[in-house]
Amino acid sequence: MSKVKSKPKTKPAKALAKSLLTFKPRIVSFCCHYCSYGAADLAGTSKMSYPINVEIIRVPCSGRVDPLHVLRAFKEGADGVMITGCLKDQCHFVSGNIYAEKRMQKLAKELEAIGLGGRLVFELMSAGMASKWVETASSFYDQILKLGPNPLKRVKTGVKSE
Amino acid sequence: MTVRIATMGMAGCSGCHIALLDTGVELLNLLKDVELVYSYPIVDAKNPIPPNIDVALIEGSIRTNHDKEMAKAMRKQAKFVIAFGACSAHGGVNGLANTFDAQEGVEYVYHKTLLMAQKQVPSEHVPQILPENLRLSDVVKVDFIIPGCPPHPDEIAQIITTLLAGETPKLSSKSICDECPLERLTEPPKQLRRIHEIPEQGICLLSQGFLCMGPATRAGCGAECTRRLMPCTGCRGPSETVWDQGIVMLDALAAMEKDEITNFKLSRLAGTFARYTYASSKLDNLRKGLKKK
Repeated sequence: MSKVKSKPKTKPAKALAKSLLTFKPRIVSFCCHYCSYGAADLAGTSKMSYPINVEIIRVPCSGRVDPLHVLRAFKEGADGVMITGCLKDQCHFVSGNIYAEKRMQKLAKELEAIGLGGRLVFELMSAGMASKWVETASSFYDQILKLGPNPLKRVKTGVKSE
Repeated sequence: MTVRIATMGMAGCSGCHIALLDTGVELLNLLKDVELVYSYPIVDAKNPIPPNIDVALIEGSIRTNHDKEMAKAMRKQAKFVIAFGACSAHGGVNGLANTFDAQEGVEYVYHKTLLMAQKQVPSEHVPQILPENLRLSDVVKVDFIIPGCPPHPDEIAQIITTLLAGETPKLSSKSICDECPLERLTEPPKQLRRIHEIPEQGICLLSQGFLCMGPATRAGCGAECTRRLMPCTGCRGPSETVWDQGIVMLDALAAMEKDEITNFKLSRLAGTFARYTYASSKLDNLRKGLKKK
């Protein structure tokens, strides 16, 4: 019995170890058009370096990001989701960023309960704060590196490697 | 020609069957054209299920492998299967069990609760518990749902009469707020209020700070609860335009909460916002994916 049990266990473990060695987190970053996309743009033009796997999606306002977008990203295998909006009282649409912050705080709690804790981050910054954007992106990247791959993705790669 | 109807109960409280009896005079009128061929509160038969059933009303969620087999057996015999009530349609209150591990739950019930004298999990002559609480449509094809916990007697009677006339019944696609007579204020509430506090007459409960699930819930019950100043708990499941009852409500609350509600302290929102729909929510689907190995 123990032999039968141990055999299939080693395979995913090996696959896991392998995937951890070659693990490159995929981070989906929703940037609002008026502030944080500007910050990311400025980071690019001033030649600051940030992790290559942070993929930016431009949205009109951080308030546009529906929890559905976040859940979908995780379902499709994103290791982390980063949402950035304008500073408080500086939102182009008056209060979209505050709505987004409240919403994402609540969603983060729910995600933690199902086992995706620490994979969602929300930050506020202005268009001139390129260094803050880079700092947020790289610290979040490190955090995801520690957490390991998205459990949903690990399932898929484990099945494929067998 | 009489129409052969069967009813069946899974993991549920039989409340939907009581609601069926509660149709009263309507039921007597219906019984002229209807033959009740199989019904677990009345008939003491388990399997075999009689053949050629026209309409099957299945109550309760799928919790054990016995439930699963019975649902499949019923589907084979029935032409039209209706998920009867919130448990069957959306997973129901039972669906909140999905926030825990099934075996842990069994251990808890048989070892830690005071009433269990034996202190051991029964293994003989009982069906095996499934790791997840499933709704009916996860197991078999469902033709129609009657939502509600329990469904409204008038609605049950109306749906059955529509079916007898050979037409397809329709559920309302609006939300509870469209039926609710209370007046909505533009000002968001300053504080959340608990259910035991007494609300003001004629003003929207959500505006007063009560967690009312009306905006995300399917209409059709006539807003019976909010009319009597009782906050909606969302037993009728999401309305057609709502993709996930719990998270849409969370969204709505975030928009309402612009000016800092100071006493908002809920550790988890699932029990309040997805009380009847957790087993069919997007969040739970994601969790099921995480759990599979």
